[in-house]
Amino acid sequence: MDSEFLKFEFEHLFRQWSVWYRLRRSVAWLLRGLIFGLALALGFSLVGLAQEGLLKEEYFALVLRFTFFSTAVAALAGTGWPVSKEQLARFFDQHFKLKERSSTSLELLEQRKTTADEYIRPEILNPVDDLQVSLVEKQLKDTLIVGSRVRPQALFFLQMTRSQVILVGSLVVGLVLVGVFGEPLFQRARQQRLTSQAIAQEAARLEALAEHIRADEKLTPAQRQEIAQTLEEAVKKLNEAQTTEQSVAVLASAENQLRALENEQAQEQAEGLQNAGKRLLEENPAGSDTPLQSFAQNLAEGDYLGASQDLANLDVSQLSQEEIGSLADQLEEASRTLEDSNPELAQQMAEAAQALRDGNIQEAQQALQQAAQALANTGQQIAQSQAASQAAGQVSQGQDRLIQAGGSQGQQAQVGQPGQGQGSQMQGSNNQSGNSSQGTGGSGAGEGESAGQEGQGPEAGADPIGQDNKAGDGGMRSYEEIFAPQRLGGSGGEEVNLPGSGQPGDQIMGQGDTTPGDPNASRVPYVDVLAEYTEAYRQAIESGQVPVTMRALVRKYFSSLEP
Amino acid sequence: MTISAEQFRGTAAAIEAEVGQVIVGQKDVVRHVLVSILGGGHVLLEGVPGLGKTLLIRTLGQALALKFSRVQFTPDLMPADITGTEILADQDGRREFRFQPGPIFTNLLLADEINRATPKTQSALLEAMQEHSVTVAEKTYHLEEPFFVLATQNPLEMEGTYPLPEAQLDRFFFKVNVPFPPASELVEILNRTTGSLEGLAHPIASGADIIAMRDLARQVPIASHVSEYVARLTVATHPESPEAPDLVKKFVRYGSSPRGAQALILGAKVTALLAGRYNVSFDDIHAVAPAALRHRLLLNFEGLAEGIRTDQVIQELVTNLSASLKVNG
Repeated sequence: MDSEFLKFEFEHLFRQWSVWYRLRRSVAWLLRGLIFGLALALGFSLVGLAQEGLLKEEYFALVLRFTFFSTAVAALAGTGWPVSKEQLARFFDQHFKLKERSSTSLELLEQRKTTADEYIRPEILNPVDDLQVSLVEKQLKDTLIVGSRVRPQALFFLQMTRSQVILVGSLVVGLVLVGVFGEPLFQRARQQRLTSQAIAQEAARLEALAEHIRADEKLTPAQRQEIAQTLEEAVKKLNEAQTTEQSVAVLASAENQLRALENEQAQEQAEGLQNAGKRLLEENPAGSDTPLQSFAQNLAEGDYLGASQDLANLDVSQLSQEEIGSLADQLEEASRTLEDSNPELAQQMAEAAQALRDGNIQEAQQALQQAAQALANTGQQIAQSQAASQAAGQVSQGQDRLIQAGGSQGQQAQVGQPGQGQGSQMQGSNNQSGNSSQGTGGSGAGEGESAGQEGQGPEAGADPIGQDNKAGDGGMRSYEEIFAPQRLGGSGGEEVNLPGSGQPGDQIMGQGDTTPGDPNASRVPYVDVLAEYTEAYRQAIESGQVPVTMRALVRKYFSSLEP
Repeated sequence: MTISAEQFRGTAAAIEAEVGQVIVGQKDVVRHVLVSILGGGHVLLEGVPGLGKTLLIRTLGQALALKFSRVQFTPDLMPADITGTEILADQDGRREFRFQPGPIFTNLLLADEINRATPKTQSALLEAMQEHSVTVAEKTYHLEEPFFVLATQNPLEMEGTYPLPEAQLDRFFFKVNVPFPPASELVEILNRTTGSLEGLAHPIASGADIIAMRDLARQVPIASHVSEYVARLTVATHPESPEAPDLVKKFVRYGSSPRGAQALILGAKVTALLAGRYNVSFDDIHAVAPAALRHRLLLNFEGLAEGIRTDQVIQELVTNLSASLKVNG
């Protein structure tokens, strides 16, 4: 038989075996990849759970992805990973029990020197070429004959070793256990994730607010800087906050700083200015060509800078005697209107009016300029106060949102766990209980009368006060639908016996007619008392005496008390 | 003269069959002796008296149609008694020294009870066994090919014996242990040796045939990793080798020489051809390893005191190194 033919046949056989070998290795590596993927998934899951950063759906996705990718990659690598022919030949010899036939044939075909004769007996080495060629051919033929009886398909049926079975089983059991018993950790991770998202959203809101403040032309650069810097520092601290408590504390601190920028008299001044503007408008209705018409319009609309500009641009020398007299009257009227809210401005307007009446144009003009300047200053103070108030309000709302996020997480975390609190828990959409996950159930838990009423706790007071009303709006407004003791302003209920007065048989009833006192006989103004208590609650919040979850509740309560 | 692999197998089988006409059983012994002869080496047969060692060699001599000499080694045997000597002889009226060849000038030398001769006499065989030549009176005489020494020794009788020196032992291709025959074979032996007819072997192969068979065996290819395995196996017989198993490290004083590796490969080649294959396998190596290595491993005092047998050590070596041959898929 031709040597070339034998070589061709052998190479064909070898290639055929190689395909089966790669298939076998692919399956073998797939199993290893499966083990590796399961182990990796378990490891990452445990780390993720330990850090409370893995959600349940992420856990399942992680297990599936790791398992799939590792097995796929391992199978592909097993198929395509390079292997030398020599290694393959030895493998075939071993698994097909070829007694080194294929490796010897391969080496003979590779023209390698395979005899050790030179090493053994060099002095008598006298190779007989024909003999050698004959032996090589016979060896190849022998390999082909024995190789043709081999069933390479048998390679494909790979049995898992005992250790592999145990390993796969252990890993699967471990993953199942993590999935089943890791539920509390998954919930905590979800809570943590939502908290982070809420914090990030609040940080974004504050950034936007800071940008808005920086673009507010009503404010001076210094005012803009002051407010925006407060907000930006809050953003920075917020980004570093990890928990709801930390983030709420940051916002509370920022709110306090912003509240400090508020001018308590600014609102009063603004109202006074607007009232003055309205009164002037009544005397100078739209369309009337009077010197203070535009001034009054701007003043009534709250555009103090525009009004200031109008006042500054007023050229008294161009006015007729009649117009001067009218202007003096209007200035005097405005002065009287502003006397309480802005005495300085009122004084300057009065001086201007007097100068006009005296015919001293120059002095009148100068007094008007000073009044314009004073009005501008007042306007800027009002603008700053309003901006700070607005920012503080938004920061306050941010705290509410964060606490709400914490509360809703708490409720989610509590799913499936027996409730520990009796009676109602504050579950309204705007409730302030952020710690319900810890089983506190909110403050003021009653005796179960509102149990099961989700989102609707008993209201404090018979008449709800309107929400989001502003200071000065007057009227009543509703606050959070929180639980309140039934007797507070509500309908009558069970009477409670209080300790006696000391007299035998005496009883003091907890409910009943009380002496309301004389109407309007209070000697301390309500605003003063409120301010005192407001300051006290702010200090309590800042010093940490009020729990984070209750801060917004307390704040809203005091806000609702504002006139 | 060349010979085909089929003829090789046929001739070897015929020789074994012919020896089997005389020798009952002992097939492994016969096979190892034959492998050794076809590998071009000398054989040391060790066994207690009466097991047919001498008969086996004599029968083999008959079957091979080779010149056969037998030397009974005794303590008073002198080297010249083996190699030959210069004698004074008349040659055309002149007296001159003439070399009188000893019994070593043959094809098949039976050195019976070789350990009974003194080391001096034993050493007379060294040159002949390695160089196939004899030097007497500064003159070297080449021995006729093929030349084989088939020696026997008795392991039991220590009195009046001289253990073979290491250099002498190393020159033996194989050391074959002749076991006591089982009862079934013993019955047949008794039948043959106590009857009227004695078996006689007929010549099967000539010296030229043996040389041709030896040359053919040397052409058998061997894969490089099989050669490397033989080298590792040989190195591992030395106690200082990293691959040496604990048994070697503990009980072996000195391991095999390179002649051991040569004997392993040549013996494996012959074994492969006899098995109908044309390449050497690990199984061939393992089949000849005990015969090729057992006389080349020198046990230390502890090994001797513990009664360790070199065959145990070789088995441990093979087991250890075979594990490393596994190719993972």
